[in-house]
Formats: sequence, C-alpha cells, structure tokens
Amino acid sequence: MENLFINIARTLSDWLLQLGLSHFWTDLVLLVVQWTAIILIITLNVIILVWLERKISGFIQQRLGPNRLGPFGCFQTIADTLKLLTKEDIIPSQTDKLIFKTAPMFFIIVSVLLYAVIPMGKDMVVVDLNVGLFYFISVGSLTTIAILMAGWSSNNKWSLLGAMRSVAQMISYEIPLAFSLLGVVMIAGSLNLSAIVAAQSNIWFIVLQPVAFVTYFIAATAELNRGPFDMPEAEQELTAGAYTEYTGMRWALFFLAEYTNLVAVSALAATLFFGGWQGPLLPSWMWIIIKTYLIMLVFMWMKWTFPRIRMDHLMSLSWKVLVPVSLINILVTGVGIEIFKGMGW
Amino acid sequence: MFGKGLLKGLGITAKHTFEREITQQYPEERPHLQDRFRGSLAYDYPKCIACGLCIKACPNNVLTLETYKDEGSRKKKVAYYAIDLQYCLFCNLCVEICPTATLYFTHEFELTSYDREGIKKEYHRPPELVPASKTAAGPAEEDKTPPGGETDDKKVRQMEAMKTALLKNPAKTLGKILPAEEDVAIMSSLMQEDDKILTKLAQLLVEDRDKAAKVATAWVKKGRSSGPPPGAVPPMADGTPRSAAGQSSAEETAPPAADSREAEGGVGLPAEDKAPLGDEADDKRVRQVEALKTALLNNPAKTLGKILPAEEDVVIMSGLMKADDKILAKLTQLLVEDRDKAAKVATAWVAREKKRNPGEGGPSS
Repeated sequence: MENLFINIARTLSDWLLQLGLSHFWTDLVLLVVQWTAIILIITLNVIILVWLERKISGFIQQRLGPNRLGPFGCFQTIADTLKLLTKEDIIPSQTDKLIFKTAPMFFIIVSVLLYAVIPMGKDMVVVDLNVGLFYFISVGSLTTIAILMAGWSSNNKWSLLGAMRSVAQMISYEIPLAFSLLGVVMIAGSLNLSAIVAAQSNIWFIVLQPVAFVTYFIAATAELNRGPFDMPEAEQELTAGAYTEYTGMRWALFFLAEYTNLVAVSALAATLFFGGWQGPLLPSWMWIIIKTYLIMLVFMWMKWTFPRIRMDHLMSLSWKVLVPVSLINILVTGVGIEIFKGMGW
Repeated sequence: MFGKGLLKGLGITAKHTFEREITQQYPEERPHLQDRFRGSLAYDYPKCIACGLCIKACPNNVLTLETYKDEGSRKKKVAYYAIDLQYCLFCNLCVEICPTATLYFTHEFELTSYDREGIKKEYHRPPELVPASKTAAGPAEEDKTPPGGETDDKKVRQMEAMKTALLKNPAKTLGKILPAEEDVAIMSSLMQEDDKILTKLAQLLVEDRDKAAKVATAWVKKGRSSGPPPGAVPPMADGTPRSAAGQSSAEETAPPAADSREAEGGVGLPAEDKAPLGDEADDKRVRQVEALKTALLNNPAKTLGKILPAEEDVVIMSGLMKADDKILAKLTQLLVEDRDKAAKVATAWVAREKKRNPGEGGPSS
C-alpha cells in the first residue's frame, strides 16, 4: 500500500524502457501521466469539495444541505457540473475577448502548477525543487493576475472593483504569508518541501511555530479569497465580483481553480506545520489527504462562521497586525535558534 | 480582543453543526400543526341553522348565505352557502360567533388553485331537492313538526322514508300503484321536477295506497295530455287551485322551493321577505338558473341524463357546454323553463355536433 503509486510509476517507466524509449522520453511520458493524474484528482476533488462545503454550510445553519440526488445528495455536484458543461457560453459584446477567454485558463493552469512541488507521500513529488516553498508562494500569487484579467476584460464596474480588491488583498497579504513561512524555513534550514517534511519527523512545526501557523492561516484565507475575506466576489456588493460576466464552463473553471487553490494551500499547511505525509499505520499518501481535508474543514468552518470583513479593516488587519506579528515571529525564531544552538542542541 | 469572539463564534457554529436539523422535507414530511392552527375554513352543512351571524361577523364579506323557509317546520334552511377564501383573513370571528359550531378551521393549508373560483368553497343543496330538506340535510332534529301542524312523528318519518324510496328507486315504488311502465316513467319525472308532487304522493302512499294509485293515474294522464308545458311562466302566487292533479303543472317546477309557502301566504326565501311577488319570482328564477348551471357543470351526466337518453350524447353535450358559455346559459334557461323543449334543443345540438365531426365523440373546440 505504502508504495502503491510509486510502484505503478516504476512499472510504467520499466515498461517504457523495455519498449526501447530513451530515458528522456520515458521521463516525459511519466511526467504527462503524473500531471494527468493530478488534474483528474483535482477535478474529482472539487466535486467532493463542493458537495462537502454545501453540506457543511447546511449543517452549520441547521439545514440539511443537498439531499435530493443520490444518498446524502452526493450526486448533486455531478449534476451541477453537467449543467455547467452544457450551458451556453456567453461572451458579452464589449469585453476584451482575448483576455476574457484566457483569464479562466490562466487561473486554472496556475492553480494546477502549485501541485508540482507538494509532496503527496513518501517520495511522491512531481518536481522536487530545492526552492519549492519559494516557487509555491510566487506561483500562488499569479492567481491574482488571472482575477485582474477577468475583471478588467469584463468591462464591467463590479468585475473591475472585484479584481482591484483582489489585487489589493494579494499585495497586503502576500507579505505576512511569506514572512510567516520564513520561521518554518529558518528552523528546517531549507526551502525544499521534502526537506521541511523530513525536518518534522520528531516534532511538528505547529508546536514550534504556532504564531506562524495562525498568521499563515489568516493570510492564506485572504489569498484564497475565501470568507470572511471574500471581498473580490462579495455577492451582496459586487454580484459575483470579477466572475460576474462569466457563464457556463468558463465560470466553472474559476470555481474549479478556487477549490484547487484551497486544496493546494491546505496541503501546504499540512506539509509545513503538520508533518506532511508522515504518520503512523496508514500509507503516507493517505495521511496527507486526511490532514489536507481536516484543514479544509477548518477553512469551511471559518467561512460559514464569520461575516465578511470590511475592506479597510481587511487592510489594517494585514498591515497593522499580521505584518508586525510575523516580523516579531521571525525575530523570536532567530533568537531562539541561536539560543538553542548555544545550548548545544 | 485577541480572537476570543472569533473562537466563541466558531464554538457556536460547531455546536449547531451537530444539532438536529430543523429543515422539514415538506411534501414528504408533513408539518406538525398546532390544534389552533387556522387552515381552510370549513362548513358543516347539517349543523347550520341559517342564523346568519357569521355573515354579520365577517369583516371581509367572505361568506354568502342563501336560505329558504322549510315547508313543514317554517324554519329557515340553507339553500346555498359559500366561503370565498381568497378574501378570508382567518380572523376567526365567524367561528367564534357560530352558535352550533358549524364553521370551523381545518388543518388543510394547501389552498392553491389555478383560478380564483378554485379557492371558493360552495355548499349547494341540489336544486331539485331544495324543499326536501329532511332527506338532504340529514339529521335535522329540529324539523320534527310534520306539515299542517300534525304531531304524528311516526308518520312523518314514514313519509320521509317513502320520499327517499321514491327518489331513489321510482320504478319499484311506483310500480305498485301504476301498472304501465310508461306511466311510471312519466310519474317519476313529474316527481323529480316538482317536490310537492313527491311530498303529496309519499303522503298518500303512506296513508292510503288505493287513493295514491288513483291520484297518480290522474297526474300521469294530465301530464301526458298537457304535453309540453307552456314555457316560462312565473310561479303561481296565492289563490291558485291546489288540487292534487293541478299541482303537476310544469310551470311550477321552476321555483319548487317556494310555492307551497306562497300558497299559504308565506314567502319562499326569507332573505327577500318584503320583496314584491313579481320581483321575487324573477329573483328566484335567476338563482335557480345559477344553481342549475353549477349542477350542469359539476355533474353533467346526472343532469343531462334526464333530457338525453344516450350516454354518448351526454358526453358530447357536456363538452359543448364547457366549450361555449352561451350554450350552457341557453340550456340552463330552457331546463328551468321547459324541460321538453330543452331536451329537443339539446338533441338538435348534439346531432349538429355529431355531423360536424363524425369521427370524434366530443366537440372539436
């Protein structure tokens, strides 16, 4: 069980080598297979997540949530997906067509790219970058450009307002996000995610870096544009924000990308603070799934508990609270590391 | 400060997550209604004493009551009661004031319908049965007083039973006094048209069968000789000779509810006590036409069966009626005024319709 996926990959590559392909081509085919698997998992995951989110929001509000289609309504999302796939694709006449069409694609591509560096089990990482965390943060911030593209090309004031909010939010929260992760990096001594996971074999970083985790969690919620920081698509103010003009599959792509981001950010939190794929008894890839889902449940729990924060409060929270706190955290971490080193640990 | 409120909020939502859901799966799960829930207003016909208090109490004119005076007991009886729920504000005033608990709120709350008429609840006494209060109204305890001030309870009950028997199975009952089958048919139609004939015959049958046979034969003879009656004639007022045979004249079938009262100097419908006789007659006829119309629409088979022998024709005719309001109006008028003529006209219409679309059974429109 532990090496299920690794064995599958090895069998595949052995078979390809036997067919007489060179190592370059074998690796290329394997990479394609890996990406296809990731995209499939993401898509299926989103179907589950949307159902889960609706169910949880229902339970929190003492409703039943979707329950008409299939047991506990679990086929509801599939039906919704089919509906979205078959919907008419409407592009408003005054839009910037090229950007309008590329924005959702860009968004989903950027979201999928995040999965390249996340270790999804023991020795299960698509690209084991030595600057993996740096890659994750920098690629993650590109999603904002997709939202800005969507908002700008829609030629609609609500869309543009939503996009501008998204950009402002990203600029504000990217800083505490990166700073909060610096503490972890300092302790682990590496930006490589596999190395960070390995550094947690004795103790999870949530114990060593609780302040960093809280800061990361808040900043990540803002980065994900999820409630209570869902200003860019605040329904009550901006209809659907940057996504207002999108219909059918294009809109579904945004939706897909948002949930993909949610999974990626949760998986990163699990990797950085909860020991990644490490865990007893169960295979490693199962552990990362369990941890990711638990963190996502907390994200959903928060979304359906807190009311949306005001834009100026959002800004002051970031600049006046999170940035100083994460800076102090770095200072304390650095001092602590030196003290422990001095004590001979 | 420091997120205490946030944690409290998270605690509340976490608690709610594991509490019982309050959603009701409505069509499958029926709501639990309190005893005092005010659903649709209902009316218990037999209980009503036609006091009219509910009409006075209603702030929105939801309720309509039409009454007549019962022949025997001289009591007001309900001819027609309607609850137009679309105006009802469920204030409970009518229910509170009702002395016999005739009106009450049910727990029925699914009141939607496709048109305004659909939400209206109407309680008709079948027009041909209006004076036969006791049979139709069920256990009318207060009506024990027999006609003419007699106090023979048993006889009254016997008479009631006989009346019911006559209406339900005329062939059998009349067969005993009328030998010819044709005569039985004529007699039964006479009975159905005129309630007085029915009452008289029942009385005679109970008291003296031989006399009943004689009288019945005479009526039948008269009914046959008089042929199609002379059409629309307002009901006779006082002074008309009321021999047993004379009662069968067809024009009296028009307002059956009232004329016996008129003969005794009373008035048919207490609601119009002071109205001059002519107006009253017109008014009565209008109301009768309306009632008949409703009967035609609600139960075309029964009503049309009397004038159209073939079942197929009845179906065609009812289709025509529903399609064209004018036909309905005309037919109703004819039925009230002159049944034979109505039968002829209806047959002609049906024949025309059949010719127009020979393939189908019903009207094309």
